[in-house]
Amino acid sequence: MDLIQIIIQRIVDGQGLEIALAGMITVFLALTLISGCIAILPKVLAMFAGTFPETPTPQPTISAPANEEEAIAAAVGYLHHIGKSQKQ
Amino acid sequence: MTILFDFLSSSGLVAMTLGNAVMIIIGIILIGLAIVKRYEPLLLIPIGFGAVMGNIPSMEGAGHSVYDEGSFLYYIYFGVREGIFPPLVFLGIGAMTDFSAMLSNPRLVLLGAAAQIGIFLTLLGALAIGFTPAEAGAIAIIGGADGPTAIFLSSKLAPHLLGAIAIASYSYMALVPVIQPPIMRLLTTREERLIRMKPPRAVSQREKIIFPIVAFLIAVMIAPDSIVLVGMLFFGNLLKESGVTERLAETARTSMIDIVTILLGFSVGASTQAQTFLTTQSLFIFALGAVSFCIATSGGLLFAKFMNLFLKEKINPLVGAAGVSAVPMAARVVQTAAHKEDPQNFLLFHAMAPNVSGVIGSAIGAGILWSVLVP
Repeated sequence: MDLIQIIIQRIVDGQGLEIALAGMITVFLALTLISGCIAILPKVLAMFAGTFPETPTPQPTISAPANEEEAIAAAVGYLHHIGKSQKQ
Repeated sequence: MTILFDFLSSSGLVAMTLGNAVMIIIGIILIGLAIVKRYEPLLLIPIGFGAVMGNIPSMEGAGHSVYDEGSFLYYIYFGVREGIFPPLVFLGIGAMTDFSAMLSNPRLVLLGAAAQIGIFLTLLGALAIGFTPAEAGAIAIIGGADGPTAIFLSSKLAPHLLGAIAIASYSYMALVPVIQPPIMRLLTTREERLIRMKPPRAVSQREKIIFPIVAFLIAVMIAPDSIVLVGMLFFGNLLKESGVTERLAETARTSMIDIVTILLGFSVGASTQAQTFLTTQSLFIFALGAVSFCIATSGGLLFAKFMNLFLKEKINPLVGAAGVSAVPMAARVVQTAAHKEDPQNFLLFHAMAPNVSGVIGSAIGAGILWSVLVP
């Protein structure tokens, strides 16, 4: 393989231009169609909203992990409170 | 004593070639980049260590490389050679991708298409310097900035170049924060970089569920050979968005993709034996890969500027640079570039739209090249 020379004829022989053009057109066509479908999807769904109302999906409730510092502060506060109560 | 000398004569140090030593150093550099610079560590560490392991010389007749039938690495490499690992990675990517950005602003999808020009112009360059059409197609896909896609296509079109293409692809993906900003500054004015885009609309869960099915059907009807990658990507996304397969989605985006990434990265690294990797071809692959990345970035940026000629609500052209698929690195780079000009301009969400559409675009591009160029 002669890697030093850039020979345009090789592009022609390998049908490079046709492949590149066909490839770009196909990619654009597919993504344009996807883009179009995305654009009309909310409108289509709105048409059926009366027949099939969207119910909010129950999301799993994840309790926030306790902040260690807050937990320690709460525990200290509780003990302080208990201590005060016992003195009284 | 003879046994000892025989053993020593077959040791790694004696059989080591200069090429093996160079590749071991390259492997260690990759590991260093991953640990010190945090460049794609999940990939560069397996690839780097694989490169070290793959370049340890072995005894005559007792090969342990990915090319020696019956060896441990040979069986791991099966998933690469037969194109099994990349679609599984796509399944995991689908299960972790939120397409809301795309769904809320569909016009940005076109930027992901424009960036694929990097693939097809590099194809011409590779042909011009003497690669065969199949090799040129495998090299060109580096411009898609998508490691699994590059590995998948080169395993089909030019398996002998797989190691170089994979390393080039992941190296440039890791170098996105270095490669893209100068191109962004060169091709945009300050006024353009300051453009603020309106906040995205809320996307319903029903849209998110319907999208992977519709997008899959459109993509494979137009480019049937993209079915493997596109299919797994949208299947993974459906698992995520359906709301009833959370366990499967969780497995796909965590344990499964991690296992596949380890096997893929390690075996690709191990395939970079000096004898097959240190060639003039590899140098040209790296050079073409860099050109491809630059063209892809420029394509997205310039197409955003072109779209602005017709749009009332202007797009910040920086967003176009995220059309190269490297997710989410390219989108983060866009955010950083915009943030430098205006600290109150938040483009990350907008940039995710061309970023994920670039993944779809490069998978479709790979499908087209596969169908046209398969030997």
